[in-house]
Amino acid sequence: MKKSENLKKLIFYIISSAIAVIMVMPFIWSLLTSIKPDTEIFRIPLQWLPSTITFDQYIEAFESVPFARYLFNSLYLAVMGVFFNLLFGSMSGYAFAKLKFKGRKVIFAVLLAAMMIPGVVVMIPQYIVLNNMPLMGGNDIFGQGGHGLLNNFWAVILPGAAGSFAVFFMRQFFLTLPDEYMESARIDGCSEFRIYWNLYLPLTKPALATLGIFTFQAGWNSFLWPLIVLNDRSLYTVQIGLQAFTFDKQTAYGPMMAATIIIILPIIALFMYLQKYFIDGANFSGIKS
Amino acid sequence: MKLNKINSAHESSLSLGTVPKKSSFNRYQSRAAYFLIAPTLILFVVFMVIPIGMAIFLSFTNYDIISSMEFVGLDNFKRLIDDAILWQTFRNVGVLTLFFVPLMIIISLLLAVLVTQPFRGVTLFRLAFYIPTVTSAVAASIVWLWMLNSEYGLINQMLSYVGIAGPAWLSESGPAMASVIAVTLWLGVGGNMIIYMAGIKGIPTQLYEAARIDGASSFKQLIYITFPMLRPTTLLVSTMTIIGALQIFDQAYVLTQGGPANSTKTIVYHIYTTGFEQLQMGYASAQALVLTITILIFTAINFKINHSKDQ
Amino acid sequence: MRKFRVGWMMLLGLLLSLALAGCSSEDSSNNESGSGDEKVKLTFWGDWTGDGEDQFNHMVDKFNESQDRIEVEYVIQEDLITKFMTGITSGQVPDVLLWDRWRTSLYAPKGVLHPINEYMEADGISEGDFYEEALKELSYDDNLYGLPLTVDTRALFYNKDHFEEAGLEPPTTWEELREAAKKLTIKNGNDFERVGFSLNDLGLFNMWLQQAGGQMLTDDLSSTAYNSEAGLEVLEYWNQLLFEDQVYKTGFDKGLEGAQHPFVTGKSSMHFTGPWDLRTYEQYSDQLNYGVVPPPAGPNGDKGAVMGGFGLAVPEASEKKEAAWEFIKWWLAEPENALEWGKTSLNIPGNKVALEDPFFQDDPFWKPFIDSLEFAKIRPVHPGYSVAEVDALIPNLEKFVLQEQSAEETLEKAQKEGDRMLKENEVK
Repeated sequence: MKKSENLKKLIFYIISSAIAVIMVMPFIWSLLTSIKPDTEIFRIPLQWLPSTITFDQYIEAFESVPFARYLFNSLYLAVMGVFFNLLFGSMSGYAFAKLKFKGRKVIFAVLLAAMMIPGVVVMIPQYIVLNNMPLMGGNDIFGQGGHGLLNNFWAVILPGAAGSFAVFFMRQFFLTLPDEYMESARIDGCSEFRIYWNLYLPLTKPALATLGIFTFQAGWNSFLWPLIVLNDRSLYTVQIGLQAFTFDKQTAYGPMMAATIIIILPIIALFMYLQKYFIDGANFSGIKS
Repeated sequence: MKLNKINSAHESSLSLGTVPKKSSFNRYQSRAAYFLIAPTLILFVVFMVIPIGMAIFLSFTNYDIISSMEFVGLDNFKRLIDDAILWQTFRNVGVLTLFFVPLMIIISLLLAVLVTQPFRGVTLFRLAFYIPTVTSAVAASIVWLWMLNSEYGLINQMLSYVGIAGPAWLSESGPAMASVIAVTLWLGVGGNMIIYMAGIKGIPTQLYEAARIDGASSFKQLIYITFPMLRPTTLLVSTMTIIGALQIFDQAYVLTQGGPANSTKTIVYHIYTTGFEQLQMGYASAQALVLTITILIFTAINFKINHSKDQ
Repeated sequence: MRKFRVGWMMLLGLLLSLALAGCSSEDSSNNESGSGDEKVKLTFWGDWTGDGEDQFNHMVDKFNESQDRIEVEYVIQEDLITKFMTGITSGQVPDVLLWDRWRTSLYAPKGVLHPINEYMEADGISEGDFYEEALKELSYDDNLYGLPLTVDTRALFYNKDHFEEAGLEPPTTWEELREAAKKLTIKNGNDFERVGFSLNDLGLFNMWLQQAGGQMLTDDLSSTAYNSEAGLEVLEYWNQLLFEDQVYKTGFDKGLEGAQHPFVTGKSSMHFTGPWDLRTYEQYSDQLNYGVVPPPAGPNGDKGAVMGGFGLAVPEASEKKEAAWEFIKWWLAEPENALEWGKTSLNIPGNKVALEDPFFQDDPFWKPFIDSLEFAKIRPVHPGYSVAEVDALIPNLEKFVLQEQSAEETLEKAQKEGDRMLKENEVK
């Protein structure tokens, strides 16, 4: 018995380590590059380890671009995105999975179909909608005159919360939860909303954690849309800031890699923090009495 | 609806006091449902339906974003027929999707199985597998660009240690497509892995215990318990992967610029250049419409294949 | 449960208050004309960052200091042209715009740039002060839409040490280039230790074609003209370099930048590039001893080079066009300022008078570029030219250098596709 257990262990570690190396290698290279002095970055033959460790690249990165400000902006946008997507996505996902109502199938199909439209051609119309939002940003009731919701964080958050992925994802998860809870709760006289909020939602912690990471990362990594709708440099995000290191056919690799590492850290921190939800997730051994 | 009426008639004749009547119950359930989906729907209509409607309208015009716009009827669609580059991109993406989707599903599922094993250090492996996903596609592609250089890149250097002369990855058609697929897989498996992880967490442990008692090997457990129980998750992952594969842009742009000889030019890349670089947004919208229909077809097929117990 | 609720409430409150903060960041980029005594504030958009940002700010500061009616602010826009396009739809355009000249043929006919002919006349600025080709690139239908900020072209960079070793003189014709490349290539079996010449940029076909006596489009710009004797000569020459003499391998340079670039590490003896690499090569001057000569002449003695570069333009929707012109005129039409610009940014200004200064004339690095600019031609001013090049011509050239099709087939297909693209993109 023990032998086969040990064999399994061995196979597990070998395979996992090999894959881990492939996955992590470019990241390690970026990390090492970010602590090398400029002259050592692109040597031939290949040089992995720096001969002297320097944090100059990081200083350079923070000096050329107001990274502190951008980090705050990106953080704010990502957190808001997570909040809205998790809230609205779980509400809708629950409804589509567990409740019966007219038009349920059709509406869900439409939501799904929207994911299949390539973003590029919807960008300009979305931009125009934001620009002509009535009663915002100096616009009159017909949406003329000002610039609507443009140049404002909501221009990033609201369209981001209109995506169907969160709904699809939560619905699939809710489908795996048994209906019996619902029925007994109804017999006990619980309101539908309380059934959703107090009963089913807590059971979806692993799904929420997963969706949370996804949404956070999507918000954190988005580049083109914030670039288009935000004008003030004080509102810019870290991804836009990253572009500052490429100009006139040259790229400043040192500071760029430093910036890339800085940008990755918050997500890694969030990921490690959310691990506990992956470990003690809901486990259904039957209906709790 | 008819069924509900019959039910409610039936119920009232049985007159069970404490249970609310079925018809008002259904109305109550519907109201709750509409309340729950309202925020999503409002945002969806404003930021999706209206813009999509505009985009569809634009496909019948010669909109160029910055100046006037005229209605041109079906001209854009007629032009599509002769657009050799567009059809090339469809072929490219077709090939890409065919290889990419199964690989993505299998690899991310296996990774999820790996990192949900009760071995020490599993958390570190999870992090390692997830790290590529959080790297921006642009930054990652720059690093890969260098790694794939035919003479001095890391990949070919490693291959030369085992005596293989690697090809000019990004300068030859076949290897270029393989590179785009590989980099995209590298970027994406971590994300799908954690989706599968959430799914695996939902599988009741008794199933595994019962199987072990019956003497099933780990491998059998994988095939007969894990895979089937993950069907709703697989539906999600496969749908998103197909939709994603048909819309790949970033990696192709940075790694190969669609080359060599347009062999890795993707549909979205072409739509992007048509709309944003040639300022032919009307025509680009028509192209996007064709792509959307394609995605719809593929997704519908996928639903049929992976359809399980969801109605 | 209760703790859960309070936590959510606090989070919600915090987020909402931050949101309101986000709302109140009023835009400073909107144009508001001051009243009477106040300075006119101009916004200048460009996508140059890092050193480029400093260079722009240097000129902006000098201008602001030189007078007190107008104040310019340089604002970096990372995806400049997309920002400009979307800015037009929402009415948020700058007053001065860094302009990639080749875009003029596509944007000018749509009326989004303001012609400066009247300003030029009123202020007596002579067009002869500037490179004729550059002005042509900024024109459409007899209207001029800006002034040239920089002009560039590619020249032949060669490794002086390698040449000395081999006892060679820098080449001036195709034949000499070929001979030199053959002698300089070092092979180790099938692997290249050193390539004699990097034939890596197929987009330079335009340049080669001119050297062979051909041209990309017909004179009236209605169709392609590269499927010709001259075109075939270019491909034949490439064939010799790549497969008969084997002085280069496709993909050799790909992905290698900065200090890893083969020219810097001594793995390549010659290649074409422009003045932008000056700064990089100076950084590695301890290992790289290089020289520059104008591009070689073709088999019949024809010389050819492609001129590119930027300009400064005024968007039609700007409300401060006169002030914008003042700024542009100061920077680009006054030779001392154009010279200052060239010196501090290490770019070649578009003002020919400024270039007569010894700073450029006496420098062995700049001289070959200036000589090349004498015969350099701009890319054809057809709105569909760039897409024809990128989607019709270059993919076929790529197939050719992979030996997947013959020269004749390459040019046939490129012509057919190219003509179609020109037709689909012409000005309606």
